[in-house]
Order: sequence, then structure tokens, then C-alpha cells
Amino acid sequence: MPGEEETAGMRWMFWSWMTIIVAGLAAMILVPLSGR
Amino acid sequence: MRRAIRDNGLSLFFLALFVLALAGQSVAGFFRNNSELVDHGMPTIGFGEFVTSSDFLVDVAENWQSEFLQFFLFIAATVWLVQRGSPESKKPGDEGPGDDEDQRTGAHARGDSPRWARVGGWRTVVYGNSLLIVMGAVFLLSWLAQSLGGLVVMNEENAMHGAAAITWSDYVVSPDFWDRTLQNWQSEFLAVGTMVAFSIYLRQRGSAESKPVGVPHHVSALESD
Repeated sequence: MPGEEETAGMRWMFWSWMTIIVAGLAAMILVPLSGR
Repeated sequence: MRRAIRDNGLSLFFLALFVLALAGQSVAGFFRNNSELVDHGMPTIGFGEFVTSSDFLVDVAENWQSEFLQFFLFIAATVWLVQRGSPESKKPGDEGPGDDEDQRTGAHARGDSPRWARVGGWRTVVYGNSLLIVMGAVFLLSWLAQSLGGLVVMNEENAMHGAAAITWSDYVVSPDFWDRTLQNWQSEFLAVGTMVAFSIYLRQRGSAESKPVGVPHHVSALESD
């Protein structure tokens, strides 16, 4: 079993990429909907 | 700290490449866009305005959708289809989603298996397809984003040329939408097919994407043999 440091790193990576995807999708959908 | 960077090197490397490439795309696109505005005798725009415009975002979206479609199809197809000799594939005869025993779900889960793999029922079904579900959702949302951004850009161009604006339902059946879509899809399918076929006979020593150098050509994936 990996220790707390190892699982924290994996969690960071997962949520960093998930944040990029969600923020990117939100921007790419909301900007054109606002007509810009 | 050094250990954390090494443990997550693959994700961090691609994160850095992604940020650099997106920054580069935004700068190059900014200059291209302003030069087109000048050609049309229109005032140029600032960098902040460009990166929050559909002109920039539609180009990002059309590449995102094709990448996520590629992974969606690759994940789904490798459940049911095999390529003898490819490390990207299970071995012939192993097609299908597998049972609880080889997936270590339900009664066959281990103590340290993810909770949703252990509990059974709908949660294990959802969790057992979660990678495909998320990749598919990102594909559909970025394809939707491409259609919304492409519509704004097309209507800006129509206005510049004195043509009437079109609606979203007109746009998604337009040559512009399908040209943007299919030019990205063809390259993704080419790259995946090539990777599957080339990896039968070619090797990269030390790469997780390759069979070990001395493994015979006919062996699909070492783990399943």
C-alpha cells in the first residue's frame, strides 16, 4: 500500500487534469453562448 | 518533493507540454487573427480579447473533441476487438468485459480494491465503465463547444461579407463544421491504427507502450499470455 505522500500526489494529478478539462469545457461552451 | 515529482513525472511532463503548446497556439493565433482583421480593414483586438473569443476557442475545441473521441473509441474497441501481436491489445480469445473474478469486482474484490468495485450493483457497473463514460462526456461536450464556437465565427465572417446569419441547426450540417470535424478525426484514426499495427513488429526498449524488445511478434500483451 502506498503511503499518504504517494496517494496525495496521485490525487493532485487526477484533480489537476480534471480541473483543466472542466474549466476548458466551461470556457469553450460559455464564451460562444455569450456571442463573443 | 523530488520523490513526488518523479512519481508523477508522466502527468507533469504532459501538463507542461500542454500549457506551453496552448500558450504558443494563443500567441500564433492572436497574430494570425489580427493580420486577418487588418486585411479586412478592421481594427485589431487585444490578446485578452482574442483568448476569450470564439475564434480562439473553436480551434481548441475541435482538437479536444477528436482526441477524446480517439481515446473513447480506443478504450471501447479494445474491450471487444483484438490485434494479434499488439501490446495495445488483449490476446485473441480474451474479448469482452470479463467476469468478476478477472476484474476483481464484487465477491472477488480485494480489501484494497476501490469501494465502488467492492459494493456490487449499479455502482460497480458505473465505476467499471467510468473511464469510458468520462472520455465520452468530454468528447461530446467539446464537440458541442466546437459547434457553438464555429457558429459564432461563421456568423462573424458572414457579417463581414454582408451575408445573413445562420442558426446552430444550419451550422451542424454545414461543410465548415464537418470539415473541421473530419480533418481531425482522420488523423486520430490513422495514428491509433498505425500504433496498433506498428507495435506488433516494432519496439521501444523501456516504454510501457511497447512489448519488451525480445518478446515474439505474435504475443499480444505480456500480462494476458
